Amino acid sequence: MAGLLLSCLVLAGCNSTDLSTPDVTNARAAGFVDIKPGSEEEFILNVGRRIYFEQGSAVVTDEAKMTIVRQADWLKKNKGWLIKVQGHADDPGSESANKALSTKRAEAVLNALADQGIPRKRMWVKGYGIERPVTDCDEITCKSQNRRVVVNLREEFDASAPGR
Amino acid sequence: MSISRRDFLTGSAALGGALLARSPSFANAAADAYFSGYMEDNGFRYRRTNFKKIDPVWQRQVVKYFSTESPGTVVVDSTNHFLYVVYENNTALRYGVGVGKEGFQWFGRARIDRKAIWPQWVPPPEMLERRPDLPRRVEGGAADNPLGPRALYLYRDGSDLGYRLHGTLEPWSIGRDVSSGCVRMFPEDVIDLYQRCPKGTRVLVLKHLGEKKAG
Repeated sequence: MAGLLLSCLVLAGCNSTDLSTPDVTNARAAGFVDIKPGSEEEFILNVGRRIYFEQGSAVVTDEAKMTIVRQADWLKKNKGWLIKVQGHADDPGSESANKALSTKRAEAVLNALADQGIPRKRMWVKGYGIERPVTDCDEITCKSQNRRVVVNLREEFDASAPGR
Repeated sequence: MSISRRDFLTGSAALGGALLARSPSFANAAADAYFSGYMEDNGFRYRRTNFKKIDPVWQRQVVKYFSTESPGTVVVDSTNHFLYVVYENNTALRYGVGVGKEGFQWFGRARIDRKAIWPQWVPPPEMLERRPDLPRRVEGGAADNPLGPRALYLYRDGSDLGYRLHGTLEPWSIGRDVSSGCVRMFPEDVIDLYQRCPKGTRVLVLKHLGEKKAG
């Protein structure tokens, strides 16, 4: 159930059935048939939403910064989007330590986006800790995927946005 | 490994020869049509791909993808020349790739344990044996470095498999069997892939989708 919920959150739109393309591998994914400039689909395809972190760290690496620069360039051209910066963790330590780390990761990305010229009033953070793993196993293959921040495009502020 | 000095010298026929860029020729113009200016990247530059010349099937796209591989896994379908980054919700990001010629292919499970920006290229001994004309080393960022702007190195149990995902100087080779075993991508795509695969990413190289999973 958690997996289902997660998968719905990953791509724009939670419509599980799109009749425009057949349900076979290699058919275009729902929403990605005719991609409009400035759309969330374009962001996912040409920029990418995820930024990865080293174990136990909320430091934006040089590699992570390359993604953030690409994201900021796109967000500057598409000013209509609000940005929910979602932090995640799958690191040594307690659940609460992971929650704190995920929040720090999200804050680090928000600050880096702000450094690139994205107005802070467009952005807010939420740390999810270990709640929403991409994939679940004890090996680095899984943990490296989960130690991430997702730059989530939004049309409206949600309850996690402060002061709203 | 990817290079194709042989391609440079003789063939991907006329086009490969054009990369020598020594003589203004018809072949040269044909190759040039695959490029559209230059792009700066981390202190060097690459020739941008002219995607108007590329069959849309080889261009990056988000597709439906039904498999049991966990999200984040990179899957290579060698026969059909696709590389997938598996996403949630039965979807994947798909790229067109060029893969090894018959006899220079590799299949199996691996992990990306090393990544490099503008990697240097060192032909392995077995390749030098076949092709003694090759340089012993090409610096990262050099215009004739066949790896292009990025390389992702595949490891298994801590050992470098000598097999990697990298760029290409020959955009017309995407969608074909060309190199000596590596997976080559448009420079724009390998730069994109680099950002999407943290170290530790799981990789599965298949002959084709649907075959029995490699060990």
